[in-house]
Amino acid sequence: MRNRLINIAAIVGVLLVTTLPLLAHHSFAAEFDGSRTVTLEGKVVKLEMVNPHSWLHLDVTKPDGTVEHWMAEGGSPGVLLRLGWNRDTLPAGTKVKVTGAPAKDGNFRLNTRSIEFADGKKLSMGGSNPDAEQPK
Amino acid sequence: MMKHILTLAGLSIGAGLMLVSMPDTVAAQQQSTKAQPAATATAPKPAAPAAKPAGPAYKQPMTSWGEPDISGMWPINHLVTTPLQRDPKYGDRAYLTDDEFKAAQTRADAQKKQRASGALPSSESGAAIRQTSLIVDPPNGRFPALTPYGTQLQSKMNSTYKPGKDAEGSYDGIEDFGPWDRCITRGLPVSMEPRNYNNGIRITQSPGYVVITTEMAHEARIVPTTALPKLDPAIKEWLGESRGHWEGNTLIVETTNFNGLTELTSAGVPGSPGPLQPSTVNMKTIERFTRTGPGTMDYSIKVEDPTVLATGSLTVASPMMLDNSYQMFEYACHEGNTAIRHYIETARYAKAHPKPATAAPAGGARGGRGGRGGGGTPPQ
Repeated sequence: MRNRLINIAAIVGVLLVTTLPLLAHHSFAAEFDGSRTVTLEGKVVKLEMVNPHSWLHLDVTKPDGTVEHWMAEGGSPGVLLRLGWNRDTLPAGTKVKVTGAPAKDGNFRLNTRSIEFADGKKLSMGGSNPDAEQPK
Repeated sequence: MMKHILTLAGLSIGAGLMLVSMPDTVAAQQQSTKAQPAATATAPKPAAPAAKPAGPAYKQPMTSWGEPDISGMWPINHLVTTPLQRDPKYGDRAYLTDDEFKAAQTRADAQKKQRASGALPSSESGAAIRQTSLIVDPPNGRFPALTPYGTQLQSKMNSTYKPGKDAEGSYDGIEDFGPWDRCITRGLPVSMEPRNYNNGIRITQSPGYVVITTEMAHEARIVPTTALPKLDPAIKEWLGESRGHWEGNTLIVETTNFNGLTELTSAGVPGSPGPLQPSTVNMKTIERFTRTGPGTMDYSIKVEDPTVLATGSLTVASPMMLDNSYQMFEYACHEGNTAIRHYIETARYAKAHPKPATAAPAGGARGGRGGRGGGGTPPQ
């Protein structure tokens, strides 16, 4: 528990956020902690464009060389398609920085607020996160 | 759905019919002269936004078999900025003044920009309509109070949007979730009301049938418009059993045989009074579809359920706009509905780790794996 907290603390920024009532298929707050923010830098493993919400899988290499597998929740495939996403938007191996609200139970899941590429471009993943950034 | 198909097939076989075309003569007999429901007859006519007035010259297109043609894609994204319930400051006034309408458009544009993140991706979301609320009856535009029985039912309902549900962490089984959480249905009237995504509604017609397909959640409401007998009252369905008929150019759909397990409102519907308004098996809905121009259609749904609504009924009017360029993607909600498992896991974790309840915990007994599959293993 303690080591895990330290590890997460290395990549987690904590801040208070305001929320807007953007409601998803189910309540956001039951699973994710909207008062906290996790920022991950890793490589895309795969993108699951599944309903009701999509999942982006990424491997995050920690300073000690070990790898954590994270899942980032986004909008439904319909939402992503209307935003211009397709199956090639995030190919495996792409380096991304993902920011979002972490799971309350400590599993390696977060609800995505924004995705940023190595060149600084940002991408919205839609979804239920009340603070999802606008696409750049 | 399968049950619905089987039911229809059974009725068709029993009547010596197949689920194909009905003779025009039978369809013509269904041009009912039944009077309009009082509430909808007196309800103010809703105004569609950004649409040219039809004017008296508008001629209703007809299908090749002689019924009014209301087919097409009628997404309702443009309604998300109009609240279901009316702001009490408007009283019984159903329409905005010119100045109020202008202000509403400004707010809608701002909201569209704010939600451009994808939670509300459609460009139509910038529209405003003249109505002060989607509820047009009762006259004050407010969701009616519940009867004592309705209040009793309400206390037993569950949903992830139930007030206090998250704080309690009380998810331990499927019964702790609502039908929408479980990807079953939004029910009626909610399936015909707007929310922040997946607002497509497609209407298709064949001789003797109208099919209303809702994008959320990928449901096809099959409405016979011929003299099909009513379903046995003992048979209950999530979306009820519909029967339609034409009165002039208006399609009227009456639906009964509800299972009483759905909500009359949903937290996702803007301006909703609350997520947990109960329905019962006594519910009946009456919908009216009337094209008013090449790209506009008046739509209303009257919900009757005196067992739970103190007023006995309510009517929602929501003008539709034709947009055949809108693409409806399959919303196969069940395919990855991880929320049920994740919420139960989260609640059980909270019970096992009461201090601190919201701190970022270590993997502990869970091993810190990703929720589904974990460790990159594909979901099973």
